[in-house]
Amino acid sequence: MLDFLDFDFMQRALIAAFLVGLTAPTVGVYLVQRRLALIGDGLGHVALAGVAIGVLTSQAPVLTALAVAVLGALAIELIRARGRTSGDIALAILFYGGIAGGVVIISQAPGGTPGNLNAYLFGAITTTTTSDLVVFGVLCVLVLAVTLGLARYLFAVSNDEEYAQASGLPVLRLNVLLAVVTAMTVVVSMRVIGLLLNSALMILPIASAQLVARSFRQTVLLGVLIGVLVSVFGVSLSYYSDTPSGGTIVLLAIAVFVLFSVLEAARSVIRRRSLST
Amino acid sequence: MQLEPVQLEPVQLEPVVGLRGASIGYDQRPVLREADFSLFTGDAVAVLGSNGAGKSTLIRGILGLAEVLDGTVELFGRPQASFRKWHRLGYVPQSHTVVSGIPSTVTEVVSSGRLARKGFARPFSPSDRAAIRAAIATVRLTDRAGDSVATLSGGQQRRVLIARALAGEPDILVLDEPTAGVDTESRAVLAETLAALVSGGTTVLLVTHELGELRRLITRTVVVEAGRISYDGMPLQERAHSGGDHGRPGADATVQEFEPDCEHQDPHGAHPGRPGMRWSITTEKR
Repeated sequence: MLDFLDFDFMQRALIAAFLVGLTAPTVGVYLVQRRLALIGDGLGHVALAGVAIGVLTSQAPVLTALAVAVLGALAIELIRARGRTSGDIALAILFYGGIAGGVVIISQAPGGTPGNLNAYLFGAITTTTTSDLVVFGVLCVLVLAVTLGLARYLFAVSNDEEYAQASGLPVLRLNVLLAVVTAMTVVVSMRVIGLLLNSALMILPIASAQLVARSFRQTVLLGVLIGVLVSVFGVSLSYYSDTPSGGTIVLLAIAVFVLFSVLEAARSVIRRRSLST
Repeated sequence: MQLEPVQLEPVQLEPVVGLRGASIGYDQRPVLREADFSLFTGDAVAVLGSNGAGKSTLIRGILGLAEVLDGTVELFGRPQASFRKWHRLGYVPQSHTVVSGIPSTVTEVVSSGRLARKGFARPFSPSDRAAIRAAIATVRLTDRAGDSVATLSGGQQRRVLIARALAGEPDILVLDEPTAGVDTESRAVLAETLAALVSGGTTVLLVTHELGELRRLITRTVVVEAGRISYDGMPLQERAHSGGDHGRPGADATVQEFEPDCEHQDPHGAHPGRPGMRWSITTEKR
């Protein structure tokens, strides 16, 4: 049954999936709270230019994607902080610039076609290397140190940014830090989930968890549990069904969300009936 | 019991908040112009005015949320630009973003108010936790401490915001429209909570367009009209509702609708128009 564990690439893919499932929801909870759910998506676009630079210059794409995504995150947060009016358009330029740059740069690489980007865009189980896992492991520790270690601060800023500012918290620095760990999570996700779908694992497990959780802490814990389960199970499923791992994982995460929504709706109907009798 | 002889002596107090010719606004455009205002320890000041007059801008300028374009703002004797102890001001905002998509308990939200008082990234100590519990108890939400804020009524949510501000054990409580959009019953509870805080010695600065139940705890009134402070003195009494066809209940209060409330005694002995001068009562013990 678990014969796929005999393959080294599957072992690496499962470890990568576990790391994504663990980190993505801890970042996503703050993004959902700040209604910035799509920022991970945008950073995925930006990271694609980084991947292309890596392919062109024969560097590890994970590292070049990390560098470009972190720079993109800093740019986004600084644009956001400077004013809200032109923010949307500035972000759009950054996002589309990222993906357009990625496609154009990779076409210049020897033997490169935009088709080469498919595995990066949608995830593939065979692509995770051992050195990728080392990078993912380090990033995972850094992301969790921020999202769990500074949880109260990130909660305060995400819950009520104006209040956080009035009480003297370092709002800009916390926002920049959150943007940087979002970029790091995008990179951790890029092998098994893919750059176009990575945001889903930040958002969907949290969206499911908040339907049943009663507190922020519960939401994070349940979100992580859902994240780990869907990504590890999704990678295994993609082996058997021969489907791209990113798409498989995201469809599973959506299935969990639908299931939780139905359960929550049923629960509130039962509660209303018991109250009326 | 024999009463001790009472001595009255004038003392000059330093204001905890002081504005001198301050113009405050956004994007280089002033909303409040040339404001002179002082807040003293023990004051309970209501800033009144119609919507858009600039009363919220006054407190936002004090809190560093709006730009001080001209003049000076001093907090606890320091220029605002070099002021760092922001936990000394407890802010209760008007718009409550307290209910976000993510469920958060009363304790989780109130805990945010404690962070400013601590060194960055230090874990909460038992005394921090005690302060958070005490703040929740002050607004009488102890039995709801573990509940999601989204399940609370509007008035209860407003009390959560007050508790969040109190968790930092501030010297001043700054409230923006604390009773707006809150049902009558909750207003009474809010007024009671604030009255208890004022009588306990908390300095209160609140902005409102109608005082209602809060009237009895106010020691001084400031009226802001069209971007300027037009009155600063004894609490004002609303008189609009007695006058025939003009007495529209719920009409926006403007300065024409107030008159000095002479029956209302200032427990702190503030002298309207002489903000620096106070009288203190000292009792000699033998």
